[in-house]
Amino acid sequence: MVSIELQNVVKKFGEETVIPDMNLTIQDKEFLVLVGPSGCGKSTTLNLIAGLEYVSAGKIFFGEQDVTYSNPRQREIAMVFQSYALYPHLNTYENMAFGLRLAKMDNDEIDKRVKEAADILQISELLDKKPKQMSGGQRQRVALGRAIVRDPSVFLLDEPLSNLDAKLRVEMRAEIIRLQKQLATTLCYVTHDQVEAMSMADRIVILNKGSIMQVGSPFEVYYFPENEFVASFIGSPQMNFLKGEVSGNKVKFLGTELELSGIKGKKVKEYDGKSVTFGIRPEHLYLGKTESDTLSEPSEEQKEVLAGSMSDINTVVKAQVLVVEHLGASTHVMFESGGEKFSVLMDGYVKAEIDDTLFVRFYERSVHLFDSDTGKALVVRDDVDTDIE
Amino acid sequence: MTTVDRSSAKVNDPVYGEGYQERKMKELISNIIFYFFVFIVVMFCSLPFIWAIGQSFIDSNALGTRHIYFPIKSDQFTTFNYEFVLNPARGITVAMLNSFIVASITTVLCVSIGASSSYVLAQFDFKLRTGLLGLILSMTMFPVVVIIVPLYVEYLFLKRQAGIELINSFPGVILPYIVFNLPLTVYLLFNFFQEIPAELVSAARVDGASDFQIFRKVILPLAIPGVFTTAILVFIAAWNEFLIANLMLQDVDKRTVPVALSYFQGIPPIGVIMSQNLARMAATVVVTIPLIIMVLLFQRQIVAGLTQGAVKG
Repeated sequence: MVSIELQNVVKKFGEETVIPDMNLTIQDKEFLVLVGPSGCGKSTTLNLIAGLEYVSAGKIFFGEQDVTYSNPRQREIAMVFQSYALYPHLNTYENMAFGLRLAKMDNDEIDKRVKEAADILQISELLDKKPKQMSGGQRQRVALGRAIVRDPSVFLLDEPLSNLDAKLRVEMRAEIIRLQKQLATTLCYVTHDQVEAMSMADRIVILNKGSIMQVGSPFEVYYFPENEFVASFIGSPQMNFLKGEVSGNKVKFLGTELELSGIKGKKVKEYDGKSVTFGIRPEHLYLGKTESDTLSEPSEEQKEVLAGSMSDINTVVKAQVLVVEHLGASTHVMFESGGEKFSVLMDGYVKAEIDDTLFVRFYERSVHLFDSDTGKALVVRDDVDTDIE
Repeated sequence: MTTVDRSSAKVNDPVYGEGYQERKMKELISNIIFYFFVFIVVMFCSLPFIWAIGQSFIDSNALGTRHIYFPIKSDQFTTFNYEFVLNPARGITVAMLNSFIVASITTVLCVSIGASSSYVLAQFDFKLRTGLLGLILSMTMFPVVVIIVPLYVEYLFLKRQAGIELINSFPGVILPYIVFNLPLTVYLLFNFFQEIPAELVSAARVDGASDFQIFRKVILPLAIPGVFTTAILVFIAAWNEFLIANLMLQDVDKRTVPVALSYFQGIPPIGVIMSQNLARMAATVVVTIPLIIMVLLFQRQIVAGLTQGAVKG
C-alpha cells in the first residue's frame, strides 16, 4: 500500500522514443486508469512501474523508496495480463501458489492464502482444474486470484477485460471495482476502452504518443477536457468538432452566430478575428421539427450538472439528416450542414428520416472551445467556479 | 401414423438433403483412393524392415535352394539367428551398449546446451541475435566428410601436444556429434520457445522468479514436447552415425552399432551350418529394437505434452 511517483521518466526502444517525458503520481489506495489509443505508451508505462522494463532516464518511487532499477520481485507488485498468462501446465491452485512457493512460504500459509483468495473470487471449485479446462471468465478470476494471494503493495492490470465477451466484461468490471475497495490497495489499470476508464477510475490518465494529455476524475475529463484529443477520446459517440470564426465575444459556425458570456466570452475575445474549434458532444444536442419545438429535452440531472455560472440561452441550427442509427436505448442522427458533419445522440426512439431538415438546439454551457492550432481548450477546469463533483 | 419408406425418404430428406446417397458415394471413393496411397507409401517404407524380420526367423537348414521370405511352416522357423547374434562373442551386444552410452550422452548434452541457448535466443532481445542464429544454422551446411580428416588430424595434434586421448574414446565421437546436432536442436527448440507467449515470462518474473527459475519451472515444462521431439532426433542421429565412429573408434570393443554391423560377417562357428545373410538380418533387427523402444518411450511424453493446454483457448 504505497503511492507511486514517476519523475521525468523517459523510455526509448532503440532509436524510437516511446515516452518522451512523463511525470505522474499515483496516490495510495487510488484506482488509476491509464487510457489511450493503441501505441500510446500505456502498457509501456505499466511495464515500467512493474519493473518488466527499465527507464531510459528518470526515476520511479514507491513511497519513499527509489525502485528505478529494482526488479519486479523487489517491488512487491502483482500484475494481471490481457491473456491472463496462467501457467498452462499448472492447475488453479498451483498457479496461485506459484509466487508464494518461489518466496519459500510455508505450505500452511500458502494453503490459507490460496483458499482465502479462492473464496473471495468464488473459484474454490476450480482449484484442481488446469487453465485449458476453464472458460475465459474463470481464467480471468484465477489471474486475479494469483495477484491477490501475494498481498502486493500495488496491483497492475494490463487490459484484463479485453478478451472477455461484452456481458462478462460488465460483470468483471463491477467485480474489480468491488475488489479494489475491499482490498484497499493502490491499483493501476491499463485499457484502450474509455467506457472502462470512465466507469472504474478514481482518476483517469489519458495518454497520446507517450505524453499525458490530461489527468483527472471521470467527471473532469468528460466535462472539462483540456484539449481536443481528450475531448475526442472520452465520450461515445465522439464529440463534434466544427470550424468557428471569432468576432468579439461571438463565434460564427454553421452559418449561425453564438454569443458567449461569462468566462467563455472573456476567453474567446482573445481570439478576435481568428478561428477556433467549436466542440459539442452529440448527447448535448437536442432535435426539433420546428425552431421552438424539441423532440427531446435535457434531463433534470443534466441541467443540474451542466449549470454553472453560464447562461441558459440556447442556440438553434438548421441541418439535413444524413444517416439515422436506432440503437434501442438511444438514437444517433448524423447531419450535414455547410459541408461539415456532426451527430446528435438522443434518448429513446427518434422518428427522423434521411434528408429531413431538422432543428438542432444546444445550450451555451455545453460548448467546448479549442485553439485551432494547438488544440488546447480555451476554458479549463480551474477557470470555472463550480463546486460540482 | 403412416409408415415412411426410409430409403426413399433419405434421398429427398430435409435433414439429409437432396443427393444424399450420391454424396455418400463420393466420400467413399475419395476415402478409398486416400487409403490406397497411404498403404503404398507405408509399404514402400516398411517392406525392407518387414522382410528383414521375416528372414531373421528363417532356419538355414530349411532354406535349401529355394527362396523363402517368411517362415511359414514350423520347421522353417527358428530363433537360432538371434541366439547367434546376441552371443557376446559376435560383438553386437557390446556395440549396442557402446551406442547406447554414446547416443544417450550426446542427447542429454545436446538437448541441455541446445535448450538453454535457444531459450536465450528466443526470449531475449540482444544485438547480433539474428546473426548468431544464422551462424548456428549455417553449421549444418558442412558435410561430415569435409571435416572428418581435419578432425582426425586435430585429435592427433591434441594427443601429441596435450596428451588428450580422443581417438578410440567415446568423448572423441560425442564431441563432434554434439557439434553436428546442435544446429538442428537449436533451430527446433528456438521455434518451440518462440511460441511461448512473452506474457507468461513476464507473469513469472512478476511472481518473483529468476531467469533460471523461469526457464526451469515455466518454459521447460511447456516446451517438453519440443524437447522430446528433438531428443528423439538427436538420439537416432547419434545411434546411426557411421563415418566419424568408423574412423575414431578403432578398437573392436569400442565400436558402435553401425560400425560393428559393417564388420559383422556372420561366420558360423565350426560345425554349424547357417546362412550368413540370415544372421545379418537378425543383427539388423536387433540393433533397431532399442531405437523403437526409445521412440515409443518419448512419444508418450510428446502426447502428454500436447494435451497440456495453451494460454488462451
